[in-house]
Amino acid sequence: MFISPRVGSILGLSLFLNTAYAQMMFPWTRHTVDNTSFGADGTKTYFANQDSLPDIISGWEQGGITRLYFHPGDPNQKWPYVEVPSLAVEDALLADLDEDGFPDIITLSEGQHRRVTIHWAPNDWQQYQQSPAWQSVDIPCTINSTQWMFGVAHQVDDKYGLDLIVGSKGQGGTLGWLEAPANPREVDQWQFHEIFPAGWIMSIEMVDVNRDGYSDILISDRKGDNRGVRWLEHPTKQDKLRAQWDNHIIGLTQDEPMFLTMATASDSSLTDIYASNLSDHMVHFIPTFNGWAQDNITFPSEAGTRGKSIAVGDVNQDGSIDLVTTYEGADQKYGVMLSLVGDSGWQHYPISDTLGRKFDFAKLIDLDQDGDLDVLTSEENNNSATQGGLGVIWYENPLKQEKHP
Amino acid sequence: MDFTNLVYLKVGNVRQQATYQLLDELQLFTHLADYQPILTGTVPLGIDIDSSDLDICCEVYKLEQFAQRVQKYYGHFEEFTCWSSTHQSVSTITISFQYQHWPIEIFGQGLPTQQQYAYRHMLIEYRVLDLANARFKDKIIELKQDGVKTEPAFSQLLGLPDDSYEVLLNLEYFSEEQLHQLLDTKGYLK
Repeated sequence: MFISPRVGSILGLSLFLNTAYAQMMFPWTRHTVDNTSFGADGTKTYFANQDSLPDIISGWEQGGITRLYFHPGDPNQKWPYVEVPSLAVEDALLADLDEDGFPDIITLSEGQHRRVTIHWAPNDWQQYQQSPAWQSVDIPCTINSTQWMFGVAHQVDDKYGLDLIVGSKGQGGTLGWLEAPANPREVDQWQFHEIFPAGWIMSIEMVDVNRDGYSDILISDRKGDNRGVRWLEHPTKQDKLRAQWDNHIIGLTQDEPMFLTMATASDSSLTDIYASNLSDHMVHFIPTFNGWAQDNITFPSEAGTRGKSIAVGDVNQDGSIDLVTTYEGADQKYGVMLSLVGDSGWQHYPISDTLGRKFDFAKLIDLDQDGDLDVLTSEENNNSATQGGLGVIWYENPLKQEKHP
Repeated sequence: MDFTNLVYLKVGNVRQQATYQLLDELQLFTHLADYQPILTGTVPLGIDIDSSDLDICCEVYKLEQFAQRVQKYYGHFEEFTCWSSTHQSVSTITISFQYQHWPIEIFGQGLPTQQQYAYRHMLIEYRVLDLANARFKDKIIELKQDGVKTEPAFSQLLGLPDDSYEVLLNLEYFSEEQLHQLLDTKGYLK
């Protein structure tokens, strides 16, 4: 193969940069936000209070609580938090459902406590960090109907406040949306509409896949007849919103897709998708005129045995996309890995040490405000209700050390 | 580069990622979907400074109706202001507010967003930055930190005559080779 001097020098530079970066400290330094409860089951971020710093929300499944952690400025200091009750919580998120300027907490629960619960925030910043000031109310139409697994807040019908798109697993498994009523605090007025039957929803992402101006729903479903990665097409017409939406298969229909994420290539107006499969490999789906091309990337041999999540971003700031992956089955193995592409393919490096067994999804975010992307995740020690895992943690990218003023 | 697909922010630099989250929290592009919004300005180009705002341009023909819609969703945010003026000989409306200390400016005009100056300037600046070396980008940021606006900063470094907002648009007709040459003569070619 002929490689032009210009391309050769770029590849050489890329290899040099990757090598230089790889020689930096691996694994990365781990910092703990909280490890004092049981079963940290995923982390999401939100600008919750008024300080423009990213705050973290995490449900603790075995602990039966959800905590919203407020960024302390210096992320190595103690993260103050507010706590709401949430038995068997599987996912937690923030959204200002009643549009009072104070983001509320929404929790989704499975097990024997199947429901979606809104925890209304007090409309006073002095009270916002006081747990007793929060008021928890279940949405009646969600109680005991199915095991709720994942949710996002989104304006679906352009009516009233934010709606909730929610997915579940097991009997009655479904993906649908909870339509917000005129007064969202009247919880018995929320209505559920099924978009598509599901087996075990792992991810829900909103993105305009077909570029028609309306956000579609991208999902990964790991079990059942409808398993796979697919997108549900926004019907565009109001009168079709409450019926099932057209679904389009992307791939992994014979496998077990876990969490997914999205990216764009600089020369494309379409959205690429990256998904972790449970075993063997992760997949990069590339939109083409005829559907979706698929590029499989084998899991690093040093990583945990079961893939869990994938996050995409320019971690080493060399201008190309890097992958951060998390794993289950990571006993004596690495639970968080970084993959950098070079001219000889993907090179893998451990971000974590070998502590931890079951990691959840990873998010790339600059938590220490030093200008590079750190990795936020959680580890739950195989759902133990007696021995806490690593909890809510973040790994510090060693690329930049200088803190922002 | 397609600036109309916001997913590029999700895999962008630190500030672009934060912007993606912030826009999602506000549901800005969902609420304004009927107006073909596009994020413009310096954040998409990675040349923003701490005081940079998030600029969103929209295609708006009924200014009052648009203002009411924005007011409905964002009227309660700090420093919410709304004013109308004429730009490119077209009636325009500008709405600004703050969210989490981030200044946000929404600009509505009765022109398709891809014909508006803000978007056209951004595309030219993107092409230039794509061909320019790191020193050029650093100098742009430096000038901005000294108080020079983005378009005058580009014009200054490229040695373009005054009235940078109009003059910069002339570069739309430059081929890659011509841009290449322009940067080369100024010592900013990658």
